[in-house]
Amino acid sequence: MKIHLTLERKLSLILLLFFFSMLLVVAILLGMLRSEYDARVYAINDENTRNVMMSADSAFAATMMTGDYIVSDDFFQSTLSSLKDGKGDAAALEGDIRSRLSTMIEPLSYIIDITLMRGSWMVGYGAGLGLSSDSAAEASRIAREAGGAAVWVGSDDGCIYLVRTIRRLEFLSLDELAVLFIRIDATALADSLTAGSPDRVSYLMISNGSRLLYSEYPGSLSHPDASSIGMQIDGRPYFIYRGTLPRSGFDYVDVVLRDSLYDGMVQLVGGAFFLFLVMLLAFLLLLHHIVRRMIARINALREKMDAFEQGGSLEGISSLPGDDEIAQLNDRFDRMAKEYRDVVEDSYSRELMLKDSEIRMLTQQINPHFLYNVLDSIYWMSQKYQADDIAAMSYDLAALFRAAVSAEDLVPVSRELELLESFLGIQRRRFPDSISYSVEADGDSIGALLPKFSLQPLVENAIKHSVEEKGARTDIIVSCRRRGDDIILEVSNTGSAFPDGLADMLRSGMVSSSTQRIGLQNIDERLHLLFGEGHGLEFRNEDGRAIVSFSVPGRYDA
Amino acid sequence: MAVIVEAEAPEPAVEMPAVEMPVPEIHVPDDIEAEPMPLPPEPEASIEVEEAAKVEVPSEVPPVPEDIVEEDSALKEMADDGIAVFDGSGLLGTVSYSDPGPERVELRISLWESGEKREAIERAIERYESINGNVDIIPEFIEKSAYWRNVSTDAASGRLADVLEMDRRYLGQFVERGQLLDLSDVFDRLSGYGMPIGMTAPVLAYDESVIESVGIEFPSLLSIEAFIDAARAVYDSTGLKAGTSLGLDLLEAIAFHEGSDIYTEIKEGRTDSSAVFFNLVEDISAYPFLSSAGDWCRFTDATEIGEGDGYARITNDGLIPYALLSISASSRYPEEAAEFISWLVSSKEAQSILRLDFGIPPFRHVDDLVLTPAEKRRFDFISDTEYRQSLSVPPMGNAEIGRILSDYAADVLSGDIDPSAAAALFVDESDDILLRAEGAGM
Repeated sequence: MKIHLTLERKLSLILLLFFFSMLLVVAILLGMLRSEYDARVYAINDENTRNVMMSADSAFAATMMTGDYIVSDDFFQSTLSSLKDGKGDAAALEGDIRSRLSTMIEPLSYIIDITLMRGSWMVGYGAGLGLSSDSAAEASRIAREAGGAAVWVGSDDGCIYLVRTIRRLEFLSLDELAVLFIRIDATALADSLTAGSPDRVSYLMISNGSRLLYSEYPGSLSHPDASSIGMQIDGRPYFIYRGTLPRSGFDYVDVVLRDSLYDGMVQLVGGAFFLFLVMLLAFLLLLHHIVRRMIARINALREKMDAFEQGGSLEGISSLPGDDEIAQLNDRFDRMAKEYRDVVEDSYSRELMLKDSEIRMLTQQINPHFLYNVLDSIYWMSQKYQADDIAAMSYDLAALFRAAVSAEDLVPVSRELELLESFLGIQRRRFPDSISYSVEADGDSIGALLPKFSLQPLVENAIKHSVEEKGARTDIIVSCRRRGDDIILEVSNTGSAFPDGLADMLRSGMVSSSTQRIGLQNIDERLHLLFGEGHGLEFRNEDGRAIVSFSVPGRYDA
Repeated sequence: MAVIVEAEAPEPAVEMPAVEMPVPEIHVPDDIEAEPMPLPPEPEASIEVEEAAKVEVPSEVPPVPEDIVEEDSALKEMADDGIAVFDGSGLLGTVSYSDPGPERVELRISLWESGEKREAIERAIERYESINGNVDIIPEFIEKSAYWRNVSTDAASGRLADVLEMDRRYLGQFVERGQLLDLSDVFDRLSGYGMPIGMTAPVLAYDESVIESVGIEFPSLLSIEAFIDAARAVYDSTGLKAGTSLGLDLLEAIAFHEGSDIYTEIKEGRTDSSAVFFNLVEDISAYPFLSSAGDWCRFTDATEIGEGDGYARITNDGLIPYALLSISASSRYPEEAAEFISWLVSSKEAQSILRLDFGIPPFRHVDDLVLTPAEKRRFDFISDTEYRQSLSVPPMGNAEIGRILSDYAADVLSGDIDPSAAAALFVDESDDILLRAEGAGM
């Protein structure tokens, strides 16, 4: 199916398609960029998390070694044994332990406290144990179950504890001398994850086997099983990093809100996208404006062409300034139109001139001036000699000739009827009692213009073919009526009939060579020339009357 | 896999030394005292130790919960915006991950061996791992001087290796504290707490060329007197000094020679054997031809006999186990550990790697091996050694007693103290050690 669209609509459609294509391309590009960027940010952050966790792992391993050291160290073995066995000065021994612990803690920033506990007895150094007595008892119980092995527990204040029983090595007695608590501040560790990007929103969880050591994990989040780049939680994308620390064997899960890693990137991309849209829109508006102008110029050209086609004036719409292709087209059209007009006007005027000369020649077949002057003389002489008939006839004849030499081509119907009266005055004197004549005319048709001497030859023709040729009486009726915009003129007579096909004979020129009906042919041609092809003589015989009629446009003198 | 344990061990190894355990007083199963070291079965008989049924990785892996197990409601209250809220001093709960892959058996083994023996063990382990794809064996070679401290710390830390190299001085202590697995748990028809890789015997090894150059006849059965005569002769002729061994072994030997037992003497407050020991030390201090290191001879065991070494049997000494391997009671893989030990002490493959570096293997004959001259000497010497029932596992605290004995011996050698006073102090302190050791852990 063909859809016809105007040029403007076509261009608008193209622009619209272009706009949406650009949007689509930009959206796809942004999507791809986003995906690629995601992968990179994920990898970088993975590296960062891994590095931080590795240093944490070192801290865990060093803490483990500290625990090993305390457990196997002769000093702790002997002082704790003495304290347990009640030997020696307890206060002094505790002082020794504290000072020894202080030398151990100070180089290790992540260890914030070491405490040795046995029942209600407790000695330590640092920030304090930080566990409630119930929790400490629970941790001790877990450590005892481990049979002297180090266990790790996490507290909900963000600290991780290494807990183990110190057992007597002498004679492999393995009786419990104390429970050792080494306290690590894991919040500092989590803080170091966000050191580089303060906006980073993440939840770190560290566990040892099934035991949770550290958790920032909100209960509302489901628990991820594996590392992942695009996990959706509550409709928000998260990066999941899960790993196992090689030295401590701890598992960690770092759940990072993806968007928090982008800092200002989202705004930047959003801003760039907005700017792009604005520029694209501005560009499209500009383009649209240009197209509109172009189309307006084309339309102007088209209007001009329409006007030219309909023969109207080109003035006023011919100004198309500029020197673009359309202006050039306009100029060429102007030149072409002008040339065409010139050619047409030239040939038209020549044809008119030709027709005019023809009319002149036809009308000059009656040589009026000389006759008029003669008739005028005859009139005055007959008046002098009181020959009234001659005077009347010469008067009418003079009136006819006067009309014939007058310059105007078109005369009102009333004037033509007056001529006809003069003509009939003559004919009645030639053929007394043979001619009756009447006129039927509308009031408003009487002023209409018609070619001079267009009715007279018709009446003359009627008299010639009835009275002159057959010696018959004739009744002539001239009617003059308005029909629509036209005025219909009709001459009917009795005593004669038109031959069939007379109109065709006149138009094919078959009568022009003879003098017969030459008057009719003249009238017919004049009507055609003056009013166009639709106007000419029509002949018919009706009810014993020969009727000839023609129409003229209903025009009036100003 | 059924391991064929062939009983046709070399002749002398047919009878294994009975290792007496210290009298258990607490927490020690009755059978410790009665149970001998793992013995080879009766001569001429061949038995199959069915182990396959026992060496199975537990087939049932505990189900792994999918979801997080949160025990602490405080967690649930944590803010959604990523800020962790720590509100107190309670302990965190537990969490479960889905996981783990197929289990690999990881066996740790603590040893004090060094040099060629260490290399041989490493090659054997490598071989064993190549046969048993799912087993990783991680040897921990610890210097002898730090070995017991390390292993004790491991025991106190609940992370004793799966397999331990033991010796008779510490065996009792570890059994007493329940650290070792009774081998009857993992072997059919075997019991006890240690399986020796080989049997060896104490020996005085000497440089044959030195003796030949001096032109004396070195006795094949050594007494203290004969040793001193030979040492003097070598010194007079060449200026080389003989090495001595003034340790607990010597004191135990002196007491044994007198028909007594040093630990009984200590408990009874008697200084009989101790006085003899310290007098001997004083005598030695007067002899210029003796030194602790020794230029041409050393007291050692038969596995150290090298090419060109002559050897003399030390009076009354019988077969002793070398590299006694025990399985820790806390081992996660006792069956696999037993299988490894079984392979190490009884397989032809292991034997072709270990050869006679660890003495004569008790559960295999070595007819297949083409022996080097040095190995031939070791083989001959150990083969000729008698098995003696009387060699006992010393009581707990004996290692500490050995240390103060060395201290007092050094004092006597340097003349800081006279032998009788040294003996009295030694016995007094040793008694205290034994008392403490017996009471320890209560």
